[in-house]
Amino acid sequence: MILLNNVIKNYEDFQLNISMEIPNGRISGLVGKNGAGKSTTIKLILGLIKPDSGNVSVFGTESSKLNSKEKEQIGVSLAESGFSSQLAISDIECILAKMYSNFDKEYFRKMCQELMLPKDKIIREFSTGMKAKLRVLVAMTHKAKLLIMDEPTAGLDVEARNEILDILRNYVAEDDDRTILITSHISSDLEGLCDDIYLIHEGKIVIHEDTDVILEQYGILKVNDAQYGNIDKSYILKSQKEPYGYACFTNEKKYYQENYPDIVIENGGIDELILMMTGGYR
Amino acid sequence: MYLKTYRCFYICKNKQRITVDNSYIVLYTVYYKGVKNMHIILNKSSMIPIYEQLMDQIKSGIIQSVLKEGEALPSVRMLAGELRISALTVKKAYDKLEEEGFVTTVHGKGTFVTATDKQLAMEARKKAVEDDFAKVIEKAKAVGLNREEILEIVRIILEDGL
Amino acid sequence: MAGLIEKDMRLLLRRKNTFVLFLALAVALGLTQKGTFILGYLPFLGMILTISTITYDEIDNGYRFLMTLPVDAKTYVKEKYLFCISGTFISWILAVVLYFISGQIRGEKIAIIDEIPIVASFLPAVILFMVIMIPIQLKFGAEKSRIVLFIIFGIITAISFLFVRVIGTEIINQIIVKINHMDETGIMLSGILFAILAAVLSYLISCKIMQNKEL
Repeated sequence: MILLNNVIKNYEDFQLNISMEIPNGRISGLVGKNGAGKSTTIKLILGLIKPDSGNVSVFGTESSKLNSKEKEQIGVSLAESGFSSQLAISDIECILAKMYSNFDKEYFRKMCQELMLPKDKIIREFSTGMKAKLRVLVAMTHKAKLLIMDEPTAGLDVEARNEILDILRNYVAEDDDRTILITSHISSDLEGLCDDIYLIHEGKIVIHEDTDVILEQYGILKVNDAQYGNIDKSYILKSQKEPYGYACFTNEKKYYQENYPDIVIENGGIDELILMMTGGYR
Repeated sequence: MYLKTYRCFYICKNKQRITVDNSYIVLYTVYYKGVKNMHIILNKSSMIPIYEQLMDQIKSGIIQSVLKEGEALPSVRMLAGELRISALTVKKAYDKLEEEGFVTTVHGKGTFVTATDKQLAMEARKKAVEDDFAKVIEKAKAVGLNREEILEIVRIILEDGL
Repeated sequence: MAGLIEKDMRLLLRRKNTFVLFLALAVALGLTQKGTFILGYLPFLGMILTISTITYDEIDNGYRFLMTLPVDAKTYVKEKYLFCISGTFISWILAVVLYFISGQIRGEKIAIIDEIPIVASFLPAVILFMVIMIPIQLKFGAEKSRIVLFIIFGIITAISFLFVRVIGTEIINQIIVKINHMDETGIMLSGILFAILAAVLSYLISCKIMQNKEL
C-alpha cells in the first residue's frame, strides 16, 4: 500500500533517509521526537513534497503523481492544517460532498452528533478537542482505504483520546483492507491500536518492530547492586544507575523471568523503547 | 456492524449513557451475527503475554462448551478493536489455536471452533492444572518452604479431601 | 473543482456583513456620484472580494491540507481564476445595470449603443489588474504581496518617467493624438484582447508557482 524506497530528502540542517513498507490492512505507528522526521515522512507519502532521491508510492503510484480518483481513497488528518477556520460544519458537509464521490452524508451527520460537534458554529470557535475530532472525522467519511493521521490525539484529554481511538478501531473493523498510518507522541495510544511501530530518530528508522513483540519481549529489570553483579548481561541492552541499584533494559524478558524468578521485572512499552534507543536512558 | 459498534460505545465508553439495568445488558450482549460475545478479560500488566492470555480464555470457552462446535470467532480486527490490542496479537492467538487444533480458519469466511476432541480437551485441562501447580510451588518457595514441606502439604490436602 | 468552488462561495457568504456594507456604499455612491464611478468601483470590489479567498487558503497552512484532497495544483489555480473572473464579471454586470438605472433616474439621455465602448472598457481594466495580482498573491502571500505591489507600481512609475524623459514629450503627444483618432470600438477591442492575453499568461505563471510551492 505505502512504499518508501531509499528515500532521501535534504533540508538545511537535517536529512531524511528512510525505507518503509506498509502492506494493506495494517495499522502502523510512527513515533519519534519532534523534528525527527515524522511530518516530513507524511508529506512525502502524500505527495506534498518530492524526495531528492529514491521513490515514494501509494497504491503503486508515485505519490506526487496521484490522481483525483486515487486521492479519493485516502483520508488525511494533518496536525496543523485543515479547512479554513471561517467555515462551519454545515459548510464542510457540502464541500466534502462535492469533493468525494463516496462521501457518506448519513455517517458524517451521525458522527457529528455523537461527537457533539456543533453544526453551525465556525471552526474558529471550537475547542481544541472539537477541532481534533473534526479533523479525524473528515478523513473517515468517504470510505477511504488508507488513513493518514498526523498526531490525531495531540493536546487532548484522556476521554477525547479514547473516543478518537475507538472511532479508528471501528473504522478498520468494518473493512479488512483498510490501512492506517498514524504518528503520535502518546505511546499508550499506539500500544492499544497499532500492529507495528516505526521509531524514527534524526531522519532514520531506528527500529521497526511488531507491537506485541515490544510489549511481550521488552522489559526492565530492577535489581539491587548485588543482583546486578550476578545476572547474565548478554541480553541487557542498556543499564542505568538508580537509587535502588540498576534499571536494565532487555529485549528477552522471558530469559530473565525463567532464570531469575525473584528479580523484579517490569513490562517495557513504547516509551521505554524510545528512551532507550534514542539515548534517553544512559 | 452498527449494532456492535453501538454496543461498544454504550457499554464500554460513555458511562453516563448506561441507564439500562442488568437484564437489558445481558440481553443485548448475547448474539450478533451468530457470534457470541466472549467476555474476554485481559491483564495488560501481567507477565503472561497477551496472546497467551487470549488463547487460554478461548480454550476455556471451547472446553466449557461456552463456545460451541462450528461457532465463529469474531474477526481479527473486531476482537482487536474491542480488546484494544494489536490485530497481529489476535492473529497470533488464532494461528496458535489452529496449530493446536482448537479452531480452523477458512479463508475469506472466518475462524471457527473445531469439533471438540475429548482427548484434546482433557489434555488442555490437565496442562492448565499443571500450570497452576507450578505457580503455587513458586509461591511456596518464595515464602521459604522447601521440597519436603511442600510435598507434605500436598499429602495432607489429598488425605483430607478423600 | 466543484468542491473548491463550494468552499470559496461559502467563505464569501460567511462574510455577508462586509459584503452588504460595501454593496450599500456602492449603490449609494453610484446613484449620487457621476455615473461611471460605479462602473469602476463595483467590479473592483468584486475582484478584491474574490481574490481574498486566496488569503483564507493561505492561513493555517490551509493550502497544504487542500492538496491532500482529490485536488491538484492545476485544478486549484483553474478554480481560482474561474471564480475570480466570474465574480468580477457579475459585479460588472451589476454595475452596468446600476449605471443605466441611475442614468434614467437622473433623466440623462443615454444612447445605449454609444455607451458600450465606455462601459465595456472597465471590465478588461479590472481583469488586467486582477491577473497581475493573483500570481503575486499566490507567490508571496497576502502580506508580502502588498509590499510587492507597491514596489511594482513604483517601478512602473519610474520607468514611465524615464520613458517620457528619453522619448520626449513631442513623440508622446503624437502617440496620444493618434490614440484619440482611433475609434473607441478599436480601443475597446484591443483592450479586451490584451486582457485575455494577460489572463492566459498570468494563469500559466500561477500554475507554475503553485506546482513548485514547497509545502
